[in-house]
Amino acid sequence: MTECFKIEDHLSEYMDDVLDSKTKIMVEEHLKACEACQGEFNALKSLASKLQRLEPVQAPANFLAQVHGRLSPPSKARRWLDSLFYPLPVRIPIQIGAIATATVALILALHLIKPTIESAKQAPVDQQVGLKEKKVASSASHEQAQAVPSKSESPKAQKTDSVTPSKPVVITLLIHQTNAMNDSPTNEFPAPAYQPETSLGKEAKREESNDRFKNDKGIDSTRSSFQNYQDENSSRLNGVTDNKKLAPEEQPMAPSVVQYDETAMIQHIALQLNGRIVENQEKSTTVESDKDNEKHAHFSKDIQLLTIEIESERYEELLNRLSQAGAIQPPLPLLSDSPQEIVQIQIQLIYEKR
Amino acid sequence: LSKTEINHNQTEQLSDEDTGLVKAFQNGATSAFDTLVLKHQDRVYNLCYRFLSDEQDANDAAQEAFVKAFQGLKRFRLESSFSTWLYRIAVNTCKNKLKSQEFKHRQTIIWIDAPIDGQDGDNRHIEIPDLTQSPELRLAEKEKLRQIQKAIHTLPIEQKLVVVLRDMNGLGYDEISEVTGYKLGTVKSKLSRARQELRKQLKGII
Repeated sequence: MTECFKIEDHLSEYMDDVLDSKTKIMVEEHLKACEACQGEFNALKSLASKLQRLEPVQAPANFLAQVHGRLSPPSKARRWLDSLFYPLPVRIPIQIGAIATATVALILALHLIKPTIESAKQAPVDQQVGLKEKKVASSASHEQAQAVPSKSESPKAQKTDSVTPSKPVVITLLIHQTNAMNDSPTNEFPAPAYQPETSLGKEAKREESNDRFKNDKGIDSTRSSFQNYQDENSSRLNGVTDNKKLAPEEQPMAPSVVQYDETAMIQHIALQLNGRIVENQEKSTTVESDKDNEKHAHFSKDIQLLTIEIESERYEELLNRLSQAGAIQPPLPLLSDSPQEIVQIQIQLIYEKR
Repeated sequence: LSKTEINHNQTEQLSDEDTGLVKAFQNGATSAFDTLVLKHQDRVYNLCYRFLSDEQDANDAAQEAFVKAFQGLKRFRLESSFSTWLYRIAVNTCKNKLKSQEFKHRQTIIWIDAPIDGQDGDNRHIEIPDLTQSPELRLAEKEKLRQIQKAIHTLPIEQKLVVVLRDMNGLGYDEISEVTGYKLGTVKSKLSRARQELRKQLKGII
């Protein structure tokens, strides 16, 4: 058996006739005596014969042209590109290159998207306030402020932050109204910024205001003249000659009158300062359900937009007077250092009614 | 005369012609190289195909071998025959290709996906069909060729190299030694092992 292993190693050379004579004789004698090795040799010859008879594959018909294509010198750009990388001692796997490229692309993409996100944050504010691009407003590069009403915030006159200079100054007043006079609004709603009242209520407020601003003659006169103006309007609209004489329970509830009173007061103050209301628009009325409240009370919301144009040098005075009249509360939105001749102020009155 | 002996005689005749063409090229007749390409392209391509078991890789390796030959032909001193020198270039090109990761990855896919004789490609490497045989027999023969090529592909590189050069390209032991750089004894032992391994793998097929 050991001899068979030895012979098996020589069968390939024996087949090709490359053995030395001594080894060749030894193999021949063994093959004559050993059928197993004879069978092995025949199988080997058959294999070699089969391999030799395999038809050679042929090169493609355009092989020479393809070789010529490779022999032609590369373009200058290609040579320049190759020269950049030619003696690189380390091969960089394509996966690492792909990851690096993707990382750079991601960083660039995030960097480019960032300003878009910031501008998108500002867009809903404009839509919520319902601003329109005005002629004067677009030309006036003012530093402006605006307030956005929110249930979570105080319903007092909202303080405003600086906005883009092309928009008018926007002031929002949230005014709460109740149908029953003895209902305490503070039980379910926060205190209003400017509480429209019946004539009697206004009287009490005026007294209070007089105490607050008794040292300011100009403001006293403004308030006094508006008091007369208001009294006349109240009498005309309510059909009552002297509201002061009525008991609180006898006061008629007329929300529309209250709204007109508010408008009239603002208009009156604006006129005193050579300003004017250029637009008075009632926007919409919606009915909402206060789901957070245990009673699930329904209330409507009237929105009135008043747009006032006034000389910029009187802007501050107008706001002061509105503040003194209780219409808005400080801090007041300031103009930029280089105000335009005419300033536009948009006052948004939101009336909430239960 | 066996096919190997015929191939060897043809190689000697070609060698004389090749020497003239090489000298002509070295004297400035670049068209002589085209003649050399046309004369040897099938043999080099066949060697590459049997070695790499893939047409695309074989074509690429064969082209690369001729390009290298073109670039080195001016310095070729005719110390060996042109064909031996060309084979050596081709073998080294194929060996480099076999070692590349890209080739290994592709080969895995090839053996899983399709038979080596490319049913949907051109069939230039398939044996000339014997029209006397029935379609079933031709199909069986085709499958047998595929099994042989697959068995060759599984051999270690050195064994594969010597068996391809000897049994498929008809080179003598000395020439194989010259082409591969192996000693004569190494060529003999590697060829013997390669044949035994193939016989084991193809038992029942051949």
